[in-house]
Amino acid sequence: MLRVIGELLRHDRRFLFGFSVLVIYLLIAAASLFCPYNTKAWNVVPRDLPPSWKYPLGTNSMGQDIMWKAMVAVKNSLLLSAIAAVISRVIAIILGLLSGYKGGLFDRVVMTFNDSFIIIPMFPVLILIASILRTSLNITVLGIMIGLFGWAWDARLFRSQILSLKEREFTKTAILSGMKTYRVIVTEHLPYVIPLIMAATINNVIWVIGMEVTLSLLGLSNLSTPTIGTMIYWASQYQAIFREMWNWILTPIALCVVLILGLYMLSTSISEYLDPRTRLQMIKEE
Amino acid sequence: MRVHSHSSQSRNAQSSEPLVQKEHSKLLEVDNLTKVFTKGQGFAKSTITAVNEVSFSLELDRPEIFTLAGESGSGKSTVAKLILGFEEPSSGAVRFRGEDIARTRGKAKFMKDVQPVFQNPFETFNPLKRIDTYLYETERNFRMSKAGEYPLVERSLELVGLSLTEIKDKYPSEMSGGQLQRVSIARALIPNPSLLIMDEPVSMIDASLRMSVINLFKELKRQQGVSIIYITHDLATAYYVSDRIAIMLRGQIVETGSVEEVLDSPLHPYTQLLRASVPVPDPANKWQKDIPLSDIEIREYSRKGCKFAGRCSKAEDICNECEPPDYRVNGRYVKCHLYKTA
Amino acid sequence: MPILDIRGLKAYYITRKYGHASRVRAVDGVSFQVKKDEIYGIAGESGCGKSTLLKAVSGLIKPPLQVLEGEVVYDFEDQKLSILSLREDRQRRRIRGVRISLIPQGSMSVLNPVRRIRESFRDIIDAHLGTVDEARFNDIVRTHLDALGLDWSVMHAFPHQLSGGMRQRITIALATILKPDIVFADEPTTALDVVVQRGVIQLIKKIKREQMNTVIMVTHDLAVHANLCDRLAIMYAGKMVEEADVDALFSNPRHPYTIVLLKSLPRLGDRSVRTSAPGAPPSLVNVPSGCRFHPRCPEAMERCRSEDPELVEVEKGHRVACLLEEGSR
Repeated sequence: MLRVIGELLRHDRRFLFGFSVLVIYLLIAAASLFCPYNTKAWNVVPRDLPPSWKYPLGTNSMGQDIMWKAMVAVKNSLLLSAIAAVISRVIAIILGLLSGYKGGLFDRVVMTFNDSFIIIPMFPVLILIASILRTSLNITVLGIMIGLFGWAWDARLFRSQILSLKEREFTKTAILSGMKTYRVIVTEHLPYVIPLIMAATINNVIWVIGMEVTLSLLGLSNLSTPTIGTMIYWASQYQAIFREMWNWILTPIALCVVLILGLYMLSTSISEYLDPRTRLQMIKEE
Repeated sequence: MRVHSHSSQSRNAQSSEPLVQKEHSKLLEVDNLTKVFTKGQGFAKSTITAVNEVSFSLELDRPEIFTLAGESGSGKSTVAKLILGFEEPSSGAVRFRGEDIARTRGKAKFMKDVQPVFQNPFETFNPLKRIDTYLYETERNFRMSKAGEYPLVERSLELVGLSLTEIKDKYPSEMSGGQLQRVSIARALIPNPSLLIMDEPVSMIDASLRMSVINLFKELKRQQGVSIIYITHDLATAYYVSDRIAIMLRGQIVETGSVEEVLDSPLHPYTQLLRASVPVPDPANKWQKDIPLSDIEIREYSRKGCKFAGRCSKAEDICNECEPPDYRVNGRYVKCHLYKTA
Repeated sequence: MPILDIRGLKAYYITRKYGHASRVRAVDGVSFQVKKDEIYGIAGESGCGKSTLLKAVSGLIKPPLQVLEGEVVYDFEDQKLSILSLREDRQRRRIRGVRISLIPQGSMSVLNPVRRIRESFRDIIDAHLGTVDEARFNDIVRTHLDALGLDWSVMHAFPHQLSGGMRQRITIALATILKPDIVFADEPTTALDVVVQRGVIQLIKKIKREQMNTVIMVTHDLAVHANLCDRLAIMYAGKMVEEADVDALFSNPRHPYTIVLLKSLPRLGDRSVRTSAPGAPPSLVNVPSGCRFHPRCPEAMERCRSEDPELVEVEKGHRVACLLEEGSR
């Protein structure tokens, strides 16, 4: 594992970028546990101060330290994405693999259910739910909510990979070698499915972050909890752009953009590395 | 020469055993096997009869190499899948050692006894796994030896002319097609089968490596007593290695007999055409005449009467009207009206 | 006067990935000439470089394929050009279809599945003759199809409605409709049924008779070469090891590889034992030192391990690359 990461770091600049971004953000999130302020409270520090030694990114109009708030925001956003991603992965994997392997009526029923989730206009539904639950929305609940909507595309993706793997000749060879079904799945198919899952997961995380930002921007989240989205919300509420308070508005935006870029790079470089065709080529050259 | 109906029992008229005895004298019996595929649903349904009342059998104590020859669309690969139990017949039956495989397929007893070898050696194995794992798996899963010991792996590799050191820990992409196919055969031999079904086993191997794999088949028959069903469109290798041959056209067997008889003096016009179309690797023997070709071959499946009549230079009216039965000529069977008796 | 002259061609596939660089030496120093109006065959097994040779010679050079050295010179009556020095696609496109034409491998899948055959013909005619009116188009195509024995009804069909053999014949018709001077064919009969294969070979012969093109045909099937070609060259591991008139090659093969190859071919009517060469063709990344065939050669000498033989003429019109020949000259 470490050897793989080392190799990727050395040779693939995209991976280097993405991995560094991820590491930095995780460090930020860890450091935010040492935040000296209560980031939910207002007027903790003097308002609208420009960046200085005491307040490296300045303060905002609500009287909060931007830097610490941003760090906590990163932690919350990452936490939220993690919860949403885990939930949606689990559902997508279970449904996708089961219907791929079982086929028949089970497959048809599950896929119809799946397709209806794809078609449901997510925004209106999320807006509805969010507006009902507004005050009791914390990170966990938001994460679960988004997670429950993010599995449909990928379930279909995993299913189609399974369908194609079932037809390949080495599956038949494995069966004829007397292997039981679960062993066939684990030893023959998973090496193909896992890279797909990893790439899909990272893409899902990107999507969740985007979703959270969008919801918060529309004001449909628990606005006192600092996340990247809510920071942008408050900054725009207070007309930070017109007031040219770049430290306030640009901080969350930059954090968001860099995170998504980094994750994207990570996703493409990992999926290319794990792509069976690339692996085959590398085996051949050894 | 007598006219024979399709009933398999009358085919056994050669042997002197009474019909009342169970068919235990046969290793494999394919009995009026038919497989119809339907495409589409509702109004747009179309059917193709890929296998159309195919019958043949292999003897129990006489191992032989039996070739099913035909071009693409002849149904030979479908017959293989039906015998292995990967598909279910629409009608007719396949009996292995007297038992209908509809009951035994998928069970260890059947899988141990009948093993396939596929066409593409690079697809037969998972490119991400080391190939020796398949050998160990087979020996372990079929409980051929004591737990933890794998003597059969080495032995079957020896049988195919490889050594364990050659293939240990290697991935499929590190080996040539010929080597991989041998490993595939070795894997199939581990459960000690009595029947091997090989679907175009050498068509994807380079010409310079082909013969050593083909010679292997002869060895296996002679020394291990394994019967082989060899499915191919390559008549030259079929001639070289097999004992009997059946020529398939659009789902039907049109001629059967010993391979020398059928290919040296073919009776059915289609066999004659096939034989004449095999290019000879000798510039002194180039083709002299041109032949007509069929254009939309899918029409041939649903032809009334003989399937070949559309292209046949000797076709008569009766050929377009009714399907010829199997006529018996000197110990061979030919499905052609040319051979009906007066 | 050779219509095609190739000297010292070296074309490799060069890729870099994750710090691993690999050079696949697909064509490693090949020189030969093709005479006008002959059918020249190139035979060899998988991984010998024959397809790459065809690509390089017909100008289809895209990364990771790179031509490192060599010259490829075409000599049409009125024009002489060196294809490797042509400025990219624009000039090459003008001669494609008109002067040289390539029937690629797996050409049955080359037809656009969502367009009727007629439209594929339209494309190629419009590209080279400008947009012609309907009558002239029909005229050109009909004469061509008649000459090839193809029915006009195929024009209205979609590719998937036709059989594989039919698609192959149509692809050949497409490649020859503008009467090119040279036709390259890459495995035109592989994956075809034996009866259809015969039809395709017939077709190629017929076209050549009608249009007087030069045909360069690449396939691994020696029997097809025996039936079709005038001269034949054998490739092994990126190099040409023997070249001769087809009669001379089959009756008097001189390179050990050719001998082994011919001996291993099964023939109808002959059940005598045949054997193949031990080992396997080498990878083009790690080629053996010296003569590339020496690890499998039944006549290998000590010298063969270090010296790489040149392709030299040992009899009139018969070239061999083997150290054994040098002694007997």
